[in-house]
Amino acid sequence: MLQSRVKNVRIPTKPYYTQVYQEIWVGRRLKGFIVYKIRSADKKKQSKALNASSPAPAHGDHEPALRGWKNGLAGLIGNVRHRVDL
Amino acid sequence: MNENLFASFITPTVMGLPIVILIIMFPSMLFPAPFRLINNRLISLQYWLIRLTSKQMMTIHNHKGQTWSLMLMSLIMFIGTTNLLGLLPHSFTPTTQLSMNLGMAIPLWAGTVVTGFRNKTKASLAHFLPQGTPTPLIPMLVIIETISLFIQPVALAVRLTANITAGHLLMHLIGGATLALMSINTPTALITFIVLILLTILEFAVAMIQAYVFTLLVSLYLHDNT
Repeated sequence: MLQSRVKNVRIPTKPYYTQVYQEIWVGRRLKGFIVYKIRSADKKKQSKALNASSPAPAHGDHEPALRGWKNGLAGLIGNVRHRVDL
Repeated sequence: MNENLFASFITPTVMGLPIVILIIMFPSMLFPAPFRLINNRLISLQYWLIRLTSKQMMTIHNHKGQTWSLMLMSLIMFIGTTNLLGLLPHSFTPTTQLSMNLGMAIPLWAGTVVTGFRNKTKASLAHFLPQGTPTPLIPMLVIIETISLFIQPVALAVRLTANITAGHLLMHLIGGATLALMSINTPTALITFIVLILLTILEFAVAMIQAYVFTLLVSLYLHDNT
């Protein structure tokens, strides 16, 4: 399946990616730069707010942003480990 | 009620893992690739539709502009399908997120601008000053044209986001109002239900029109620059 996909899709679209879309790659780099700037500004704002609200940081209580998928994954792995121990 | 109103715009997660990428990749599964000389009806219908759209959209371009046909046709099919799938109940529409629409608009617009500067530098720069401008107005008009150039990707993205988000919110509100009115005043609930049906028809049209407008505008920017 992979070979047929390479033969039917990747090889015919190679000139697009190398020649036609060169300017779009430039635009993509611009978009990546804008995303990087926004994310770094957001992180700076969060760390400033964290430093302002808790001047003496407690141990293990660092990242309020460690939520979402990382926490979910950690929870899943933690559950597996407990089951293995028992 | 307030919490429920915006619940459909939260990026979906399953057990803490985001599945947005799967949702974005899903519409491509609905378009089978032609694999025979004479295909089945679905693929023939899809082929006819893409031919109609590409002929209508790409005939104004020269040879350089027509190399973007694949990109523009993929764009209109993706946005159209994503918007239409978002009209199903309890589904998540990626095009309601400004981040995604900016992620589509900025590279495409920048691509057209860089194409123009690279291939036809003088003609691209000449777009900053419309023909027949009186001499005292030239500095101000150049500034205005520069601002309007940089607003183009933001306008593209915000137009799509606002249209789709507003439509979904309105449907949610009017559906909630219909439900609330059913026990209070049934004839009014019936009228509200008819409004909801008309709005749904409008949303179907808006979903396809917005995809067309997005692609057409990118195509126009390309035409200016090739």
